[in-house]
Amino acid sequence: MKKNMFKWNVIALVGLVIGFSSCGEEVIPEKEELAKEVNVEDTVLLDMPELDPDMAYSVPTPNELFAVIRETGVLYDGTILNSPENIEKYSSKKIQALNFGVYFTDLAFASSFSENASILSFFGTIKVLSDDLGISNALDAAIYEKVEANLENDDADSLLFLSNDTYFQAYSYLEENERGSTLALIVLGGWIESLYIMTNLGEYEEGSNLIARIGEQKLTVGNLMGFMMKYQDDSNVAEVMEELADIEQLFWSFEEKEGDDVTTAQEGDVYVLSGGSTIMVSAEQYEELKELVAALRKEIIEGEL
Amino acid sequence: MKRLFTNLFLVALVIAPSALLSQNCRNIVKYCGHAKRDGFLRNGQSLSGAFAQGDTAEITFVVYKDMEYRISLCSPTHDELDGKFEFKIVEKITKPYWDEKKVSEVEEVAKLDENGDDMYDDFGDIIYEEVATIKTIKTRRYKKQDVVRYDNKKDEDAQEFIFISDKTRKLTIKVLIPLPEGGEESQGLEAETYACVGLLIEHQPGPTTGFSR
Repeated sequence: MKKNMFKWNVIALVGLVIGFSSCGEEVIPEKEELAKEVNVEDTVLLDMPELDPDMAYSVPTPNELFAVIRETGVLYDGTILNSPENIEKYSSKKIQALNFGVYFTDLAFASSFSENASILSFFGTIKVLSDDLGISNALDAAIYEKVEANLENDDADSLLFLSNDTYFQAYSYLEENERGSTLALIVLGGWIESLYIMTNLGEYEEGSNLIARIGEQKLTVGNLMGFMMKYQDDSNVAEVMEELADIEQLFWSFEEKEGDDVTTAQEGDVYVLSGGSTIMVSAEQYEELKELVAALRKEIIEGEL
Repeated sequence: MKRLFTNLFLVALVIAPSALLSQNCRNIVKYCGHAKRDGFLRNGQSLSGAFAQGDTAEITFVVYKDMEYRISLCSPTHDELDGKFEFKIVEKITKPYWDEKKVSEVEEVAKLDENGDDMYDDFGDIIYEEVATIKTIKTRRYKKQDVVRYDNKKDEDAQEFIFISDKTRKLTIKVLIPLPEGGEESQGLEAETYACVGLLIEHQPGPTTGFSR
């Protein structure tokens, strides 16, 4: 598509230059030809949209994402997650908040795949970090006991509920206590970890469900930046937003393929939204994303950011 | 100086209640009715805020493919608003269109005489002339356009919207905060004209086979 556009731009430019250079010399006869149609491919590269300061931007939770990822048929891999032992490396509030998001995402991943052995360990790590961040009041005091009880009963649904509710409680507490910048760092750390997990669950396979889910994160990155924008006066938030710039830019290069017309149908008391475009990811884009995410995630979990 | 203080006091009188309310509205969404019994989990994309009655609030959020969502609104500070919210779910859809550009191309063609035959110079070579051709190049381009996916006014003012989607998509909810009884004129710019509103988003894995519940 770019090649075609380049070609026509050159023609237009040459035409324009000749047109101008001939001014005052001789009159060139003109003739109108039949409209010549040039179809470029049915893909689209839209400009990065401007964020609306009056709009409230929300970012999906890791629990939601992994419930969807589980359906792609990928297998759980605990070796790619952040080691709870790394917690000793996190001394600043900024790095603690980022890694709270990382560990919470690891917990959500383990909960979605009912990996009981990891669940307790991640809950423990989150509890320690919540003390460090001064948000332990937000969490249910008996959460640890509840988790243990549910693990004993092998109650996967309740564990998933507890994991989701812990995130919701921490999120609400920070919002209520005007600690939006801490929240922004948690959300960002969680999102980077989600991307890291997704890009390490399998190789690139064109059209696969996993690649589709990764491509769809293009929708989230805009909301994430919009959400963080509210807190960018905080230097920690501004710094990590800057670190995110290359990843954001890469997402905006993902093309959108035109799909079916959009429809909204009602089936009982549930509406079904269908149609619309699909986000495409090439093998090169996938590899670049994997590399960028791994580098940023390494800085976060090593406590170097 | 006295006038300055009076003015400051008046400004504070007007601003303070809304600012105070804005603070008190934080996390008000936790008081909204949660459909836990139906299997829904509270979603971190839920929001709380103080809104002027009669204003429209816009929130954009992302919904995942095959996940079931429930959206509802509540105002624990203004019970009388419950059941009266108007909201629309809007999606920015990528729409194709043809972009037309006129491009001038100059080419050399043989000059013809009145009989339509090629003309020659004194050396017997064909005489050429430059002809500018205007071509219309049509290029397929795309733009984002708002499409209303749901309007509760067209659904008997329903106060909850339950849906699933065949694709991950970004949606915007536009909520009209109802005016107090009697309309705008009935109240001055007081705290009562602001309401704490919670937008509760809940989710659960959607049905695995088909879209019926």
